[in-house]
Amino acid sequence: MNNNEKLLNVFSQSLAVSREIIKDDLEYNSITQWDSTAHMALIAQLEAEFSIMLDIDDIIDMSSVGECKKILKKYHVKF
Amino acid sequence: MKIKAYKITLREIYEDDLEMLRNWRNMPEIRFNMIDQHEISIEQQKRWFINLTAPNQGHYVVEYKNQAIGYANYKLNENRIWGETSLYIGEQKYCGTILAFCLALALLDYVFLQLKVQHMKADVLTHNTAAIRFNEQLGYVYIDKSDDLIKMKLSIKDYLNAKNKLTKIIRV
Repeated sequence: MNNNEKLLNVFSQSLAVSREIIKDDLEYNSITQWDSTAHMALIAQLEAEFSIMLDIDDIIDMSSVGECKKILKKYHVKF
Repeated sequence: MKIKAYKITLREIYEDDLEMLRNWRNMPEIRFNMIDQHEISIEQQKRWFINLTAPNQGHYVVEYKNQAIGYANYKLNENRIWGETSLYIGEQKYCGTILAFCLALALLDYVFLQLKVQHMKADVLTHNTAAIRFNEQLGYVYIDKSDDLIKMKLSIKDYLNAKNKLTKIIRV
């Protein structure tokens, strides 16, 4: 499974949404499922899936799927 | 006095903050989840500001990176055994982020660890599922439920257990 697939799975599971709606421009708080509690679950799953530890400022800045990819690249996750 | 923790600063409220706070408090998405859902007038806001120095309570502007982003308060009962908190992020950019957890942790650390309050209570409108889930993550448990209101309670023990889990992600 490539990293794009892994990312889709993490978003889908932690936000409890179908993979079809997970696009780069999907932003937090734009759907009811992506609230602060889901964001915590998302971060926990991202850290486990990609074996990274995200800085708190990066977690706060992770405002969309596209932004998430940009931030993960800083942690040497390739897309 | 300022409270600084978890990347958040809680500072006292100045008169210049009143219109910003009133605008946030009157936003439909915030008002909808308040038990008192009335719009706040300028006069009401001024009266509220005058009474902020009442004992056993604290009211704060919430700052992140030197920018005001929200509001928080605590109110304790007369003998300071239990209390309640209220908070919201008004700055759109940060709504729905984990800053809400940073804020809650900063405030609950203060009331439990500094003020030595024994437990906290929360009344949440039944439709406000986001706040219910949020409170559960902080360790709150249900104590009563009616058609329109859920009553929750947080002991220091449950809070510290929840905090232990949350700070595995919010590492500051």
